[in-house]
Amino acid sequence: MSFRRNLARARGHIVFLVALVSGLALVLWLETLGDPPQAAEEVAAQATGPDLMQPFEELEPLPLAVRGESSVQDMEHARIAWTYFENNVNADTGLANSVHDYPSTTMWETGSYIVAVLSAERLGLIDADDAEDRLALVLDSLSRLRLFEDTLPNKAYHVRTLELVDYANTPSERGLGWSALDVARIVAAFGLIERNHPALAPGVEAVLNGWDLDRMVQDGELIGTNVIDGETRENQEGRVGYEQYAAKAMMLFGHDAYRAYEVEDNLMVKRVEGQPIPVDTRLHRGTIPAFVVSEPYLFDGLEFGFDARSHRFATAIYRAQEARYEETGELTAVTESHLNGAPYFAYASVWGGGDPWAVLTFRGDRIDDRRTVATKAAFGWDALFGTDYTAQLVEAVAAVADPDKGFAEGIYEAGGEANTSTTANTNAVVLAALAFKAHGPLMRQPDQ
Amino acid sequence: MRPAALVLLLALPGAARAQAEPCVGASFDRPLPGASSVERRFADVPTARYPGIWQEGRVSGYFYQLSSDISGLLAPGRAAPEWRVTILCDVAAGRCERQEHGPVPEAARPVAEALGGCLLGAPVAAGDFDSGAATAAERQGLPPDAGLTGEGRAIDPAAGLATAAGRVGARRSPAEDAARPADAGEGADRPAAFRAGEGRAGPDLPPGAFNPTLRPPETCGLDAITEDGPPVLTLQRLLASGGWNPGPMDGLMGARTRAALVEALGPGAGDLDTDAALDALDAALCGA
Repeated sequence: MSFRRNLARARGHIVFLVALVSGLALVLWLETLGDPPQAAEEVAAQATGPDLMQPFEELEPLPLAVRGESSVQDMEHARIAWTYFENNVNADTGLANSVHDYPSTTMWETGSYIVAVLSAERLGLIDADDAEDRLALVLDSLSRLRLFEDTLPNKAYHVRTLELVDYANTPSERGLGWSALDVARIVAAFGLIERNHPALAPGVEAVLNGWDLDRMVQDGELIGTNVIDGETRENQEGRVGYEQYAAKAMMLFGHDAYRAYEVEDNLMVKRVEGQPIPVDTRLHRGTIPAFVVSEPYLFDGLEFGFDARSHRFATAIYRAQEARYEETGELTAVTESHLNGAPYFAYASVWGGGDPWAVLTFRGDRIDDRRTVATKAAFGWDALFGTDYTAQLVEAVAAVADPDKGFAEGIYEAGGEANTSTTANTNAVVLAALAFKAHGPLMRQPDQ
Repeated sequence: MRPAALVLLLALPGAARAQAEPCVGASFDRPLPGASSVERRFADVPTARYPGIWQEGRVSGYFYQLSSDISGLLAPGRAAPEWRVTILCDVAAGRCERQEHGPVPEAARPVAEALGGCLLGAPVAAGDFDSGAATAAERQGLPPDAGLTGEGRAIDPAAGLATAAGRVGARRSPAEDAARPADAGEGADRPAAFRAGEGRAGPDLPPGAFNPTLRPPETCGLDAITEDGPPVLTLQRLLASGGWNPGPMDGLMGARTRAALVEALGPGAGDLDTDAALDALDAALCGA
């Protein structure tokens, strides 16, 4: 019996097996027939491309340092910070000056004042009734603001008259537009009010009912407006750090800021002092390369409490600053700050404009000699992580505490002079930090 | 035939003008130049004279409506505006009448005029609705040399406010700045964006202007009681609220009410008429 004959006899089985294999191949082909080709490419890219989050996954987050109590020194610092608001809150409108004696404010700074009130209450500087009265007055004033184009709060308002103003505090018919980050900041503060004073929830809802928040959350992104060439133009707002803080705030009230909360689409990782620093790939306000400062991570940790991602980002950003001190001997606590001389405002970055430790004006000019050991960064990091280094920072910036005025912005690294600008934001962060030390994040039930 | 042709020729420009469509298009679906939040809307109106179509939105900070009956509206907002300008155009005559209601700001008038031009079919550009400020920086209240070099350059509100405040402060006290370089912020911290005598915290202010306790003062005197009914009944309530016993609350000036009044205000109070007694007692209770 030859092989050929056997093959011929088994032809029926062979045809059956070939048909079976062909059928399987056909099924597998049909399974992937509808997939768009780019999806397959994306899968391939994901399989082979770098995992941007990997450096942060490998990083051990620093433990949080909630102490559960306030020291005598903490309370002394808290009283000094609260002095700012005793001096700068208008009794009629309940709003706080954003800069000492300058009766103008933004939604960001009004959010800071709300945080200051809640923190002062937790620290026992004011009682619950006083806090509630103050917050109710703020909500009442906010409900009476003339909005930019009947939509959302303008970028600036007069503290005494509640008029819609430009940056020079001059009444403006047109207005400046709205800042999505600023609005999100006060929405975050509204969440803290509802959490800590549920009786004020109707007041919060009354304010929000008059605001068209859908205009500033579009397709998952945060949208601000500017008046350019006489036209109101919308633009995406927020960069890595600030953007996620703002997204969390909007999600508190059910606004789907899912793209704003995502970071990987716009993330690059820069190594600074050996630490992975999360940097945005986009330009800041279409002008200068994005920069990384401490501020949004301090706000996130002190107010909401970190999530797993922001905890790792904050750890890396803090460790880079500590490492710079160890390497250079210069105390380093960098963030955005007012300056007491031209150009009056600076972003002191961990990484910005293409370099580590760049200090930038809003035009993108380098002014590294204006780097400030920032009071709010010192207190914020000390509250969150409580290391020996942060204790040194607090000890250093305690020198710019003015019992009659509050804490100044900080100390210039070059020369050691005081940066004597005194602002609502810094003093609010000092209070929030001290409240965190004793009770944890403002969004959570205070630790007893 | 020749005179008829001449008449027709002369009438053509007028006819063309009468048929010129508004700058937002014959269907009102082309956004007004420089406007935002533009919407084309319509209503089912039971008349052939008005098709019920209009465009609305925001321009130069104001709310506007352009309607297909060649009328317009300018106001600060849609709901219950404190002022408004109504624009009624006659296309054949080539002019618009503007009717103002309420305190119309000066800056709104050129905007209303430009809306009228749009309705008549005149070419309108975004610049026609501009406030007239010279530069992007000035529009935002920043000094011209602040570095805001282009219209498209936005600025963080915190940075903008710090810059404006700092510049104003430095302009106010340059000598102090120079004399105290380490404390230049005294100028920056105390900018003069407010007029003299206002906004300044500290001893210059009347006591209580920055009172940290924001609760309203306790009510007293007439504010603390109900004032309905006859005046004598109010007086009796006021006496009772102060701890005196005026007898039954009957609205009659009896012996016990008069005695309570004397006890409260002194021997001569028994001769006061009711209104004078109310005023005196109210003042006494409120510590005036």
